[in-house]
Amino acid sequence: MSNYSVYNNSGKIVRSISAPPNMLGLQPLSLGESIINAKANLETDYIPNPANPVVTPRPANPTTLDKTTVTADGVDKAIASGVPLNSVITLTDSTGSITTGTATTSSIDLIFDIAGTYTIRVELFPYLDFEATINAT
Amino acid sequence: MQLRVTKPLLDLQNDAHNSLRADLLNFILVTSDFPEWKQANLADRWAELSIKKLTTSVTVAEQAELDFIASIRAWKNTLLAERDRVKTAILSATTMLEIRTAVDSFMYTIKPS
Repeated sequence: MSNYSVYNNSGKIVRSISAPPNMLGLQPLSLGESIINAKANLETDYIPNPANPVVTPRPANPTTLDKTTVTADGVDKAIASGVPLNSVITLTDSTGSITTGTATTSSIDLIFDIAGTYTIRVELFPYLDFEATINAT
Repeated sequence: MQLRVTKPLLDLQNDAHNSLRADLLNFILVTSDFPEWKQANLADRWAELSIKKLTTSVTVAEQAELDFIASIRAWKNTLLAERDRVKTAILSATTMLEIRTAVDSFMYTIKPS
């Protein structure tokens, strides 16, 4: 048995396979998917250059927050800095209600009119997801 | 760039007003130890003494009791008037900051003892 990883043409690892080499040809691949003879973590690894595939750890997300507690008055703000452009930013409250946006600048003011505990997630492949909790009181 | 967690102003105002009403109810019933059964007892006693005062007369102690009940009623009416004032301020606010300022302006007066 050998370990294989399937990745798409973005370099994202989409699944892992453990199979005998002579059975590899039976593995179904979708359009744009390729296979590499290497073990990879679906969450933390990627293939930077699909033309020359090497399993590589995804880079850390450079996003930082200046604070994690804000007043929910529509004025006070937490500032997310270092956000990669075009990242999808999601704020989810404890009820699952979601506020989302796409980063057009690297600095984003997070403002709350509604008190609650929010999970902020910043996603842009190949960066690792950034996640933190903000308390709006 | 700004990402704001918000909802329509009317919803923010309604939420603040409902929260204020709940806080006031808790202040009266729990913080001030004035549950509904005590309010009912006081109302009954007020009616009883008031009728007695009109039909016959009341003792000094009973008059003192009437005065005390009157002060309790005045206290509660003050709180209800304050609630109405803050409600008006909440409904005329146009930002969350103004709503919070209105809510924070509520004056909780202490129950006479």
